[in-house]
Amino acid sequence: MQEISPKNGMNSLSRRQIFALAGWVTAVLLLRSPRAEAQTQDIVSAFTGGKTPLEGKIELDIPFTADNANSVPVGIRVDSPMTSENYCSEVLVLAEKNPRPKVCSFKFEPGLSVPYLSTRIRLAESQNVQVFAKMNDGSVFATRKAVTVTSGACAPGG
Amino acid sequence: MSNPPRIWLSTKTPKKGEIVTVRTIVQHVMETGFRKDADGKTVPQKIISKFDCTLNGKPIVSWTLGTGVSANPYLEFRFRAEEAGELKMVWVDDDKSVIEAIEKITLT
Repeated sequence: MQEISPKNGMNSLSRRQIFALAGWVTAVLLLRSPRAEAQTQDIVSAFTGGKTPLEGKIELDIPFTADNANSVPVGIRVDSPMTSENYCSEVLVLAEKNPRPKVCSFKFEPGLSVPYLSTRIRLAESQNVQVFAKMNDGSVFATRKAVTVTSGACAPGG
Repeated sequence: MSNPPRIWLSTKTPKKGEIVTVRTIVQHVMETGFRKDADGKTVPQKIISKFDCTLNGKPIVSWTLGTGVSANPYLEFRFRAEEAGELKMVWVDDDKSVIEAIEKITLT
């Protein structure tokens, strides 16, 4: 009497519908992540000019856990004398799992600039925040820190 | 948008070569273009996409902003006070509207 008829409830999905659903889910999984990754790689290689980033020189100050993903404080300091022979020319902030991974970038000139910044960014989900710094001789430095967010800044699929 | 940007300087009368800290915040929605309103329509993107700070026209910092920057963009930066003059800050919106602020720097 309590038996569920195979034509009711969950079982009412036809085989075709199940296949269609499975196919759709796979397509979404396949399409989303490599595209975002490729996008991030494009941004990085455009910035580095193909050079392998080195470690060091960048001090990245960001909390391990962010209560408000809409406003995550980020502090960046690049170790550079900022003379006309040796200076930091550009800084890039990247959040690889954001819908647009390129968060923002900064440009400096020797003389008056000091490569120190503090701002607030949005994070769509928990992820690595990457910072790249380009020197005037073309060398690139990079650092990253994992940030856990308790609530994302953007609705999923945005 | 009508509210002027709020700016704080560690000093307006630095010694020559002293490093001055500047904190700025400007009111802006920084709409990402990903959100949908109650009717399910996408809210169009509206962000500040550029910020520039110069001292007597000499560049200090140029900031290119994306949708990943928080609403009411906040920026703290530093500069070396090698000369007195006008510290000019300019925020440029996607729609080309501009917010400007000027601070006088005198050397002591």
